[in-house]
Amino acid sequence: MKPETGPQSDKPDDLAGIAEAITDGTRVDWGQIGDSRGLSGLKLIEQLGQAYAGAPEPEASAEPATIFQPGERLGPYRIEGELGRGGMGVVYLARDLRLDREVAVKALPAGLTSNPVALERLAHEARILASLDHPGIAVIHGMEETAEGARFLVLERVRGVTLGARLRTGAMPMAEALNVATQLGEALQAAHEGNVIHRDLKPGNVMLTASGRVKVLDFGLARPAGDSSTTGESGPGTGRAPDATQSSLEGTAGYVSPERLQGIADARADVFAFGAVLYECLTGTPAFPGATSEAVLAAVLASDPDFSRLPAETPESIRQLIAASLEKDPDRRLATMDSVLALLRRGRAASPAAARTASSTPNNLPPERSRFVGRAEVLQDCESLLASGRLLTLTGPGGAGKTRLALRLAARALARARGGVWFVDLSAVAEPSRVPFAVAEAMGVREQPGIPLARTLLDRLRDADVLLVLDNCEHVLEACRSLVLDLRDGCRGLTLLATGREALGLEGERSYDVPMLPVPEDAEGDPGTLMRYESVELFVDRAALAASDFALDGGNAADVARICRSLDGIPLAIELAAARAHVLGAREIADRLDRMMGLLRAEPGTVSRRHATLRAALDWSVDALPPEAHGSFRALSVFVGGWDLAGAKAVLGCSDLEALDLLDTLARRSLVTVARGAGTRYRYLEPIRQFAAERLASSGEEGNARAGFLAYEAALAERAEPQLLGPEQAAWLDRIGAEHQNLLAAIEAAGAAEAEAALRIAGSLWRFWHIRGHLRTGAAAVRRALSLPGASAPTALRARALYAAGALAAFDMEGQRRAREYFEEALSIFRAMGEEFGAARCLTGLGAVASARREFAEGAARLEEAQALYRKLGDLRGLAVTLNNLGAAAWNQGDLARAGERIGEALDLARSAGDLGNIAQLAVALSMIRTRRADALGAAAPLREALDTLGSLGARHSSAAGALLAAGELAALEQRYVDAARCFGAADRVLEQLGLVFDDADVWWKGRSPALAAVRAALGDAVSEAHLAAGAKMDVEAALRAARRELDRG
Amino acid sequence: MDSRAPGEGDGAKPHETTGVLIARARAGDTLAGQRLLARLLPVLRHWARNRFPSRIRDARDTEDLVQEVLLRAFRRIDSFENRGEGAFLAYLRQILLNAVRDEARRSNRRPTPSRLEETIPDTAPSAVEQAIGADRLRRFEEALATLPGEQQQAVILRIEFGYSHARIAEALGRPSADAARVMVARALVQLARKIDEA
Repeated sequence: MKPETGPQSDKPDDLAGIAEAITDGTRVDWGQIGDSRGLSGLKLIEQLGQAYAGAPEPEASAEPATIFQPGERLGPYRIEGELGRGGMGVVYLARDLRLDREVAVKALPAGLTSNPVALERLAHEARILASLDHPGIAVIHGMEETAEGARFLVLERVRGVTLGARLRTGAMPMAEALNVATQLGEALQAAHEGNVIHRDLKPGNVMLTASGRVKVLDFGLARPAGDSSTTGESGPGTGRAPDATQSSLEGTAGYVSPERLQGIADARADVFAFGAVLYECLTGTPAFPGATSEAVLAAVLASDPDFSRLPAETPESIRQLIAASLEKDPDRRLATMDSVLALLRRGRAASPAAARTASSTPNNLPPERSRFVGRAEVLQDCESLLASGRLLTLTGPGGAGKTRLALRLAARALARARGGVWFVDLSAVAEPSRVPFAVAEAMGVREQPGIPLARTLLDRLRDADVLLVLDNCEHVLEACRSLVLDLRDGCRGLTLLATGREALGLEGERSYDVPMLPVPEDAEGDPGTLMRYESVELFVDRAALAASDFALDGGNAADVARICRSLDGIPLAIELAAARAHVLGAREIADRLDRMMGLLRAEPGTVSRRHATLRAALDWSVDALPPEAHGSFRALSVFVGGWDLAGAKAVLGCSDLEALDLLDTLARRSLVTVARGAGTRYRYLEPIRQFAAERLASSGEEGNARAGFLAYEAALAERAEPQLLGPEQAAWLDRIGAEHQNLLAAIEAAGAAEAEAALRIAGSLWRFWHIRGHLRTGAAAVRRALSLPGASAPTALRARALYAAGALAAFDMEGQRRAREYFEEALSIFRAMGEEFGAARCLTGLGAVASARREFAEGAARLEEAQALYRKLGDLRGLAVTLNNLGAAAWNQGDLARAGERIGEALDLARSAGDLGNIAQLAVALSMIRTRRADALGAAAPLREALDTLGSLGARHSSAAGALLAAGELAALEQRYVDAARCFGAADRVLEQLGLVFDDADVWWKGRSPALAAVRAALGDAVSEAHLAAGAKMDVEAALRAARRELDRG
Repeated sequence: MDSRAPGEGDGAKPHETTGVLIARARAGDTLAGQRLLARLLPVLRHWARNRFPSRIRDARDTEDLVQEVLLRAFRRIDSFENRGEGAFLAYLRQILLNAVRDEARRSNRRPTPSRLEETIPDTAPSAVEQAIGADRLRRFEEALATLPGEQQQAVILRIEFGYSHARIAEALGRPSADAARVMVARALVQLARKIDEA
C-alpha cells in the first residue's frame, strides 16, 4: 500500500488508531498490542492489503552486461568508463585519441550484439541523429565497428547533469523551469520537423550543461545510469517507478502517453511526455507518482496529476499547457510543439520572473539584437527632457536612429515606469483611425463591447506610471496628436515618447532633434583616438559582425574615418556600409562611397543632404546585391508588417532554400532584421522598406508582387479560420497576431480588382478579431472589403464577409441594427445559393440580435428556423448554440418551463461534445432556472456539474460569476443565508475582476435582488453586509470550492 | 451573437471525474465508455492478478478474462444504478468474482483433453489466498458483505485497489482526503469486529 502522510501512531492502543495506521500504510507493531475483539480481524485486513500491494509484477529483462572494459581501445577511441546503461545499450565515456577530445560511445549490450533487430535500431538511431541539426540535440560523430564486428555509435559528449538529477534536489524556480522547457520544446520541435519522435522523453534523458544549454539525449530508448528509474532508489517514498515495462513497452512509465499502451505513437506522445516533464520541473514531483510501475501506468491511464501542487505563481497559460499536454485522449491533446511553444511564450510573458527583460515591469519591448553604441549624452539629455515634460518627440530624417534610441530609452525606463513600458510601432498602420487600436494591441488591452476604446485605454493608464512609445508617427500625425491629447490629460502618471520626421506640435511638448553620430573631422589620428568617435565605434562594431577578423588598426583607421565622414555620421548608412566589410576592405568601401557622394549636390550638413546621403548609401548597398536578389528585395516591400519564410516563398514564388538564401543575403547586408523565435520573422527598417517600395513602384513589377501578397494573406486567413476553434487555437492566434498588420493592410490597400482577396480575409478573421478583442478594427476592415467596387456581386464570398460583419457588429448595442442588415443580406444570398449551413448561421445571428433587442417573438421564430436547419444538417454544435439561444429567449419571456427544456437539451449536446465551456455555462443557466422554479433538488445537480467543470476550466472563465450567482440563489432558496451572502459577495468580486457588467434586464442577474432581500430579512443588514464582504475577500477558486462544499453539505 | 451563446473558442481541457464518465456512458456516450474502461482496466487487472486463481492468473488469461467481463458489464451499464465510482467499482469487482467462479466450475467440468494427466486442482489458490489462507479470506468476504455499501466500498478501494485517500474522497463523494481517511478507518474497525465475531 502506498504510504500517505497522516498522523503517525507509534503505539496505537485502540482499534481506531490501528485502523488509521493501516489505512495510512504505517507499520503496525503487533507485538506491543494487547488483545481485544477486532484485533485479529485488523491483522487479517493488514495482511490482505499487503498481499494486494506486494503483488509480483510481470518482470523485465535483466540488466545488460558490459561489453567494453575501461582502457580498451576501439580504433582511435579509448574507453575510459561507463556513463550509463539501459535495455538497448550501454554508453561509455571514451577519448578520441586522434582529435584528443572526449566522446560518448554507445554500444549494444552483450547478448544483443548480433541481434538484427537491435543492430537495426542502433543504425536507425544513428541515421536519426545525423538528420537532426539543432543545438538542443546531441551531435553524432559517426558509426563504427570493432575488429570483432561489434558496432557502436560515437556521440558528442555532453557534460552536465541530467534534469532528473537536478530535480532530485527539488523543484525549479519558475523562470528556470520555463527556460529549460522552452529549450527542450525547441529541440523537440526541430526533431518533429525532421519527422523524428523521441518516444522516451523523461528527466533522465535531458541534460543541463554548465553553459545553460539544454540537450536532449537518447534518441534510441536507452537510459543513463543514475536515473533513479533504473536504480534501487525506486519504490515507495521516492515516488518513482522501477521500469518494469521496459521489455514490452518502449519508453518509461510516467512519461508514456496512454495511447502508446495500444501501440500508437506520434508527435503527440512527445507532447504528453513534455507536459509530464514540465510538471515535474515546477513541482519537483512526478506528474504520475506511484510505488510500482503498475501504479504509475494506472495513474497515467486513469488519474489527472495534482494540479494544486503547481506553484501559486504559475501563469494561467502554463497551467493550460500542462493540462492540455497531459490530456489522455490524444485527439484532445495539444497536437504540435508549435502550440506548446506558443503557450510557453505566453507564460513567459505573463510570468514577470521569466519575462524577456529582467525587469518586473510589464512591457512589450523586443530583445535588442545588436549592441547599442554610444549616445551616452544623448540618452541623458532625452531622459531629463522626458522627466520635465512628459511628452518628448524624437525628430530627424530617416536613418538617424530614432527608433533604436527610443527603444533604448524605453528599456532604461523599465526601472521607473513601474506600471508598464509599451512600444507601439506605427509604421504599418496606414489608416489613421487605427492608431488607438494599435496602442491597445501593443498593451494587450481588449476592446470592450459598447465602450469607446479611448475610455478603456484611459482606465488602464489612469493611475499607473507608464511610458508609451509611439514610433514612426509621421504618416499618421493628426491621429497621434489627438490620441496624445486624449490620454495626456486624463493620466497623470503617463509619459509619452514619440518619434517622427517632425514634432507633433502640441503644447508642453519637448522635441529633440536626434543628432547624427560625431565624425572625425580629419583623417589623421591613431585608432585609439578615432574610437572615441561614436560613428567610428558603430562602424567597427558592425564590421566585426560582418567579418569576424575586422579590427581598427593603423592600416585602416584613416579609411574608416573617411567612410564615416562621407556618410555624414548617419547610423543606418554606417551600418549598411559596415555590412559590406565581409567582402570589401575599408579602403575599397571608402573609395566607392567617396565617388558616389561626390555626385551629391545638396549642401553638406543640411537635412536634404542627409536624406540624399542615406539614399545614396541605400542605392549602393542594394545595387551590390546579386542580380537575382534585386527583384526579391523590391517585392518584399509589400509586407508592411514584416514577413515569415512562408510569406517570402509565396511572394517570391521560390523554394524554401532559395528564400532562406536570399534572406540570409539581405540580413548579411543589414537590409533586413531578423527576429528569431518559434516563428522567425523578417522585416525592413522603415526607411529601407520605403526605399524598396519606391523601387518596386518604378519597376513595373508591383502588380505581380501585390497579387502574390494578397493570395498568400487570403489563403492564410482561410486556413486559420477553422483552427481558431480547435486545439491549436493558441498557436494560430499568435500566427495571425504576427501577420495582423499585413492582413489589415491587404484589405485597406485593396483596389477594385482585388476585392476577392479582401472578402476572403474579411470573412475568415472575425473570430480572431473577436477573441483578441479587436472588434472595431475588424468591423472597419470588413466594411471596407464589402464596399469595394468589385465586391458587390451576391457571391458566397460576399455572404461570408457579410456574416462576419454581422457577427462583429452584434457585439454592441449600437451595432445591432446594422448587424441585422448584414445578416439579412447574407441570408438571402445563402438561400439563393441553397447553402443551408450559411443560412442557418445567419438565422442564428438574426435570432440572437432580435433577442438582445428584446424582440423575443421575432427572435424565437428565427431561431426555430435555424434549429430546423441544423437538425436537418446534423450539425450538433450549431444546434446547441440555437437551443441555448432559444432557451435564453424563453427565459427572457418568463417561460421557465420551456427555457429549462431547451437549455437542458443544449446541455446534453454540450456534454456529448465534451465542450467544457458550454457545459459550464449551460449548467449554470439550468441550475438558475430550476432554482427559480423552487426546484432545489433539481437545481443542485447542474450546479454541481458547473462547479466541477469550472474546476478544470479555470476560474477566469466568465461562467464562474454565473456559477456563484446560481449558488447564492440556491442557498437562499434552501435558507442557507450565510452561504448565500458569501456567494453573492464572491460573485461581485469575480464580475469586477472579469470586467463584466450585468444589468437588471439580464436573466442571470434577476434572481439576485430577491434572494439578497431574503438574506437581509433573515440575517439583518449588518450581518448580511459582513458576510457579503467576507465573500468578496475570497479568491475565485476558493469561493468556487466553498460553494461546492456547501452544496454537498446542504 | 448573444455574448452568452455557447462559448466560442473555449479550448479548455476536458476533465471528467469517473462519476461523470459513468453518467455519460450510461447515457449512451460510447467515447465516455471507452475512456471509463481505460481508466478502470489497470486497477481491476492489478486486483485480478492477486485475486484470481493462479491457473487463470497465468499468462494472458487474466487480462483477457478481465477485459471480456468488463466489456460485457459495460454493455449493460445502463442497468447499473449510478451511485458513483465507488459503487461502480464494487459492482465490477463482484461481477469479476462471479465470473471467476463460473470459469472455475466450467473448467472443472471440461478439463482440457490433452492435459488430463496434470489434473488441475479444484481450488488453485490465488496470491491473496496464499498470503492469508483460504479460510480467512472467506471470513473476510462474509464479514465484508454485512457492512453498509459505502463502508464496503471504502474497504475495497483502500485495501484491495490501493486507492489513495484523495481518490477515495472523489470516488465516494467525500469533501477531503482526510474525511475519506476517517471513513476508511471506521470501516476497517467495523469490519475487523465482524470478522472476529464469526
